[in-house]
Amino acid sequence: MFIDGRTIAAQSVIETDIAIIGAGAAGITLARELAGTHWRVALIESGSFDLDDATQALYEGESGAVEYPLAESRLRYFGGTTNHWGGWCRPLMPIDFEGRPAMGIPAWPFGRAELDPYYRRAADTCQLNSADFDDAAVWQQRTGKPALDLPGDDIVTRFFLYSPPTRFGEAYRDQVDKASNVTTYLNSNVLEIVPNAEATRIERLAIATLGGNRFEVRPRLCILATGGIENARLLLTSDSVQSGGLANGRDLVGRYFMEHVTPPGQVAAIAAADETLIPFYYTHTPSIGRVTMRAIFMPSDAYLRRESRFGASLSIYEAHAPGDKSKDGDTRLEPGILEMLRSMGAANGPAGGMIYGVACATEPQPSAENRVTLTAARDALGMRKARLTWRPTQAERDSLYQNLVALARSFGGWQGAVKVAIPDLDDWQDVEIGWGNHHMGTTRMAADPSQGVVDADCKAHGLANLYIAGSSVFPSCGPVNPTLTIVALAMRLADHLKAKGVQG
Amino acid sequence: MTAIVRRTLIAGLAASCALAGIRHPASADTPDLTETLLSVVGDRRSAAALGQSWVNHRRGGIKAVDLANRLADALRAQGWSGSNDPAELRQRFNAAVRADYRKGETVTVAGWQLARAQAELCALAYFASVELH
Repeated sequence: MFIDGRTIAAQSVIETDIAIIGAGAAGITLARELAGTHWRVALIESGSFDLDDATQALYEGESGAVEYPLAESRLRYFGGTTNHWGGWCRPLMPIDFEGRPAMGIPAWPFGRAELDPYYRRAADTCQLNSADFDDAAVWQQRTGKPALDLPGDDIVTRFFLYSPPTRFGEAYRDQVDKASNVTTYLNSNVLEIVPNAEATRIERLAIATLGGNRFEVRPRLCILATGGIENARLLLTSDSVQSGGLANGRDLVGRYFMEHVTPPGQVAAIAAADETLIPFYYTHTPSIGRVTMRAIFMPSDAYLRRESRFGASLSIYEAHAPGDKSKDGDTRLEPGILEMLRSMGAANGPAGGMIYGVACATEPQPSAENRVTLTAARDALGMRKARLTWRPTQAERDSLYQNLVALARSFGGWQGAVKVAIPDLDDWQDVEIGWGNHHMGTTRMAADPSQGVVDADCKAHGLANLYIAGSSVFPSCGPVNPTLTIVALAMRLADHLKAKGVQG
Repeated sequence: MTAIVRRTLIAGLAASCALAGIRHPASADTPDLTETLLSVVGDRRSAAALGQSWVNHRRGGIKAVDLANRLADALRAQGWSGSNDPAELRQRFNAAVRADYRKGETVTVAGWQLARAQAELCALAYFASVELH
């Protein structure tokens, strides 16, 4: 059932067992997972079913370093940011859970095996039609082509599976609507999560509509699922009982913001003397057993450990003929490069060959200085706005360069050549920086309360009935898109609640 | 005349000219070796352009004779018997390139990460083309 918050009687108090704040990938997944249980579930969403300018403006904020589009990089209505996501899906790798302390990457409180069953279910939720991500045999079976066998073990082929992309708000609206124990409150903005006087339990949620209506939800258990920036903002603004914000006794809320740097344009070019690079590396593969997949290159786990590098996802795109003057970059040398490859016996026949662009997403280095804080300015609801201070670290930039050199060595040992298109040793200038609109890490998970905001079950340290869902709990995030992991973690949280029950 | 035929003729002409070029006295001590090594290059003009870029941006002087000898050593390390057989040469050159990449013996030419052997062969093509003029 859907209820418009504007129609609720002012000052109403709604009792519920579980309140889920935010109806995006995590919130809708939780609502679906909890549908059919004996609990009353309230799903509280700021927006309605379509984009509304006034509601979307509630996402506006300030940038403290890189000028970041806080309002444009996420969407505030039913379905959340899945209303404009690209659909790239891939699980985190085992190494992402293990942590690499020397590089400032903390371990997750559990390993990848813990999430494996949830990744399989999440793949279904994201309509991937498969959960075979890194099975090269499946890839060959589907495409009829083997993955490239690059020499050495530095660079390996991995696979993304594509969601249609699933618009959670559209795909699961009817299911949420028909769940008899789930009530979705639209146009309902949580102003504050209010705990008891000891700040050990959540007691109520103060809610307002943009038109000025106010009411309360009193849950036995609360799940915060408003995204990687807003989760931190809402905790920080919830400071009427605990100064500095809720669950923030150790000043960790908002810190360790992570984002995948994706430099604009190509970071490298690959020359192949013949059209030997399998097309599925640079285009989608629709209609292969109803699975849409794409091969990418990634530094192997062994390489990352051995060389102390951050991960990268290297995708191939936009082939062009050598010397094509319509392309950017130095094309004069390309014929010579291709001739050199032909001299190695890599291709027969007349001169030809192709140049491929390489785009990348990089694994971020968690930094306490990259953080969400609050401004003095307030939004239309009177809430302090978010200020995002984010600047990628130089170590990330240096690692990207070295990863591209590793790509060059691998391709050189195969039958290609690589041009590294970012300069060595330069500072990471803002002008180079693009990003994936992935907001992660601001309420990160750690077994030790001094290291994180939530525990291994996604429960806020020190608060008996507050859980946090979404990418804000990621302690690290690898170089891949977060949605699949967000959904998997939400499913795991729902299972945890089903096993543990709702107390109080 | 098709573009492919025209390209083939141009490449053949360039190869003939280069063959004449290496008989220049400046490289009289290595003409046979140089020509043997360059026999794996189909389009010397393209290779020479790449070689020129490397030579121009390289620190320190470099001589064609040194390049030829060093390249020959690299091929011998891969089992080259010294024969003129193009198939064997190509195979040994390929192996030398892979060995360079494995060892990290690479050079950077306008961002392109090339094996040393690749750059040296292109430089040989460049020197040969210069000697034409």
